[in-house]
Amino acid sequence: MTQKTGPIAVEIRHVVKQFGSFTAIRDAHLSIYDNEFFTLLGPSGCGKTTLLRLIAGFEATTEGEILLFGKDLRNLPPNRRPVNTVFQNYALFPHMTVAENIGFGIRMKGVPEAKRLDTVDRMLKLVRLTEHAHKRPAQLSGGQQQRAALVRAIAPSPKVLLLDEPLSALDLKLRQAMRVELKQLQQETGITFIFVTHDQEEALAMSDRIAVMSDGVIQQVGSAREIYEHPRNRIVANFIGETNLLEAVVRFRSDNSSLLDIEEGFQVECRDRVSAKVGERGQVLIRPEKIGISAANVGRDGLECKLVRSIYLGTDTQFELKTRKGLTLIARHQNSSEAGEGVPIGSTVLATFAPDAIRWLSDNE
Amino acid sequence: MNRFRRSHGPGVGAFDPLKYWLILPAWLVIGFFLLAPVCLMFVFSFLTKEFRGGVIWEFSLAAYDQFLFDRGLFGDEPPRIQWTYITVFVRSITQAAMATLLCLLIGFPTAFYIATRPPQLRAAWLFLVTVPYWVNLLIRTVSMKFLLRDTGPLNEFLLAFGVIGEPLSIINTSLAVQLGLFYSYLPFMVLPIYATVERYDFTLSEAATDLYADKWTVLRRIMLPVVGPGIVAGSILVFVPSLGAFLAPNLLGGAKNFMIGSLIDEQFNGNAGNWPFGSATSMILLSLVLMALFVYARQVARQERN
Amino acid sequence: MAKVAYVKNYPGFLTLTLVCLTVLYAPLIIVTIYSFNSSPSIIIWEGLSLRWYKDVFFGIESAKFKAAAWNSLSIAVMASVTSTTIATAAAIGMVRGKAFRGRNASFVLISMPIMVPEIVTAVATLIFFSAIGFVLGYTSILVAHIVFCVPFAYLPIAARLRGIEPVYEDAASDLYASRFQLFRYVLFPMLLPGILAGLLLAFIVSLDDFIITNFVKGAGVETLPTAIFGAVKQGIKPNIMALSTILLFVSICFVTLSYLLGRTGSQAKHK
Repeated sequence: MTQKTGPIAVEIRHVVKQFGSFTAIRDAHLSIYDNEFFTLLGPSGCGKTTLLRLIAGFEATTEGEILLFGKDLRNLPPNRRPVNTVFQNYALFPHMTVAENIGFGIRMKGVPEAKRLDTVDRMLKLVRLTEHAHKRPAQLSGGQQQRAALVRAIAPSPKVLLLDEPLSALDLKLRQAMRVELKQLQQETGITFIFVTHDQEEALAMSDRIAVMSDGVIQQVGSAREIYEHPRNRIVANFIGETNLLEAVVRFRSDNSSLLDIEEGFQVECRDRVSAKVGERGQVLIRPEKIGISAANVGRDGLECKLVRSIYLGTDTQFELKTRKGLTLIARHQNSSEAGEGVPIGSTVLATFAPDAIRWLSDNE
Repeated sequence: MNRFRRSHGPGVGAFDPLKYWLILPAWLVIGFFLLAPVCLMFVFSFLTKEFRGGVIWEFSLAAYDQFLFDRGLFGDEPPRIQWTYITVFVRSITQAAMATLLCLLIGFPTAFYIATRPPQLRAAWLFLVTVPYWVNLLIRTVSMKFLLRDTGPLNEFLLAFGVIGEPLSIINTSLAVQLGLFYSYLPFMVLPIYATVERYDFTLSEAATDLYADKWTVLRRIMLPVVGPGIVAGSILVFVPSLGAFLAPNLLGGAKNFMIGSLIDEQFNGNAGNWPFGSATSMILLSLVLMALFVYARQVARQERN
Repeated sequence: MAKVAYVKNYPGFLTLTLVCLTVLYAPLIIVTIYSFNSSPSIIIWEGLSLRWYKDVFFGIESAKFKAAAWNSLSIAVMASVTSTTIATAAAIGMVRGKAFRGRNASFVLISMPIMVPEIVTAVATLIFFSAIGFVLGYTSILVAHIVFCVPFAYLPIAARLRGIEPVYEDAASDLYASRFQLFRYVLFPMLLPGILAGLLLAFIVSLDDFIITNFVKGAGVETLPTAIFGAVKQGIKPNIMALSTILLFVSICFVTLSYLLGRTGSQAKHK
């Protein structure tokens, strides 16, 4: 895990954004460090793009303040902010060549022509577009447009680069290749990236840290692993990966090991810090890949279930299990692992749980 | 200029803070040179006429009275309904309606035909239909007059081929006026219908034929409700200018077929020289047009709500 | 011609389309042909000649026609440029400004010259000019033309502007462009096809106008349409047909040019 600290590039304090009666962002707090690849992740309409536009200056905050390296941005229009944006559909100026597009920012900043052409050449080389320099954006492929938009925003050497779902218009193969390229570019340039996406895989693959947003609220901030392994609440748990969310009753509690009832009479061990008292209810999360399946007669300690359905998914197989009390569990195994293979539908199996499989959700509303 | 260069704050488009300044010239120009004049015209319609043009600033209902009532040559007889001007209005409405119908009958199949061609041919067809519109209206009307004359090329052509025994007198009839209006405003009918037919999803028609409807039933029951707004828009766009048309009735209609436009023109450029009456007639015409536009606007609003 | 799907093919529609085109073109073609007639009578065909074209340029009435042509052209150029400038500013304010009270009223006001019948506009303008003591003549024609050209220029410009996503302006601001630079380097070039269309439309509409001009021209000042109308009142003479044919081809050249320009523009866009 590459947790970065150091100077804070962007600090968001008490930011609220309302459009008429609609609240797009409720009281957001966030510190994004210099050199960090930071991702705002959430479903569409969660406020992530609005937050980005507030940082860029396209929208004005209703309340709160945004600081860039300690400087309040409040009264600065977009053209005075040392922050550049890569737009979702690139917004490359259609009447300019690729080179003119890339040189636009530094031209507006008044950089002399010789130096400007130099920078443009460097940028073209950086993303292998030199031979396309004099084409119009419409003559480029989607991936090439994407790269042109990227260096157009990097050319003026912004302190922070904002990326608004820049990969969403590309097809899967290209998207995966661009992830690597983006990450590399961020490490080479050392610019702070704030990346907006609704694609959790993308977020997990590239980010130093991720903020999960939903309904205008920042639900959790943390590294990819933290967010996947220790989601704070069911919103985050549901959004990142597949989950089994279960009600549990606390039977025994200590600091690093507790016993929880997930179904009457069946107890599992949880090593998280459990925030409820003995006898109280709470929610736990079990990732499908952490549920083991074995034949009912092996005499291991497990929950007796009926195998309702199995779905072949290429690398994985997904199993749907039903307990005797009617609870549904989803398990998932790589097809190389042989777990659950050959078990006939309708037969009784044992679902087993490793102690670290049970995650207590600290934030139960 | 300074204001223009000054940068805008965050949270608004670059041009939002300037919007009033940007629209201001348009407001001023049209407000001062059209809205104010129309208001003044309204005032003039209630003033007393001065012989040979102009007005005397004295309130009078004479203009509207003259429109509706006949009080004899010296104005001392008991009032009778004055049919002369009402007839002109009724004739204008009828002519405009007939011209609209003519445009619809020819314009709908044309628009439909063009909209169902392959996309690369549509622009060329539309171009062909709209080109004559860009030719000076006066020249088009004069050409029409030339063609339709009793001794004109059309009659000679028909006589030469023995289609008719003696020349048709089309010129100076209401048909000639309708043809002239049709010629003047046809593109206004074709373009909105074309736009709706082009957007129409023809799989709906295919679904209907698949369910045993014949083509004409499909046209009536499936397409018409969808392209209806285009037809209404086109009809309004033809009807409104036809109502106030001047050139076609004046050049093609002769003395018996003159319309509101000529009646108004006569008050200012002709011998009548009655400005208040001309203003009153203009006000009545304007009210008719605004009513038609209002009906149209309501229909559009209803359409948008659905 | 490519085959057209069953449900798109209605018998008789092609015939009516051809009838439509015949009606539209026959008068223009006939007048063009007869303008080359050498006979002084419009009834008898005596053979091909350019006699009446010579008459337009060098005949007794040529001075009148030249003066009228100059008035028409100079007024059309000034009115279209002025109204297009006004309309461009208004379109940016209306389309890019946030909604405000009175936006609908502004739109109605801007489109007023299209909605009010021409003859009514003519009457109102005449009354207004005479009431404020504005001397009728060249200037009064120009002012009236600027007013009614505004909406014709406005509509294509506003339509084009609505088609340009505001994100390009965001992008330009983001890349340090001031408001002026944003207009100069991004919005104006992108809006240019709309501005040209508006300019052309305003130009043709101004050149075409008869009714309003006829009311506000005053004595002695003529534009081509009023001159032609004056001449036609005594009957159609062959020199008028020659003059009409010249104007007809000027118009058609203009429209064809704008059509071809528009087509290359859209092709470049779709490449």
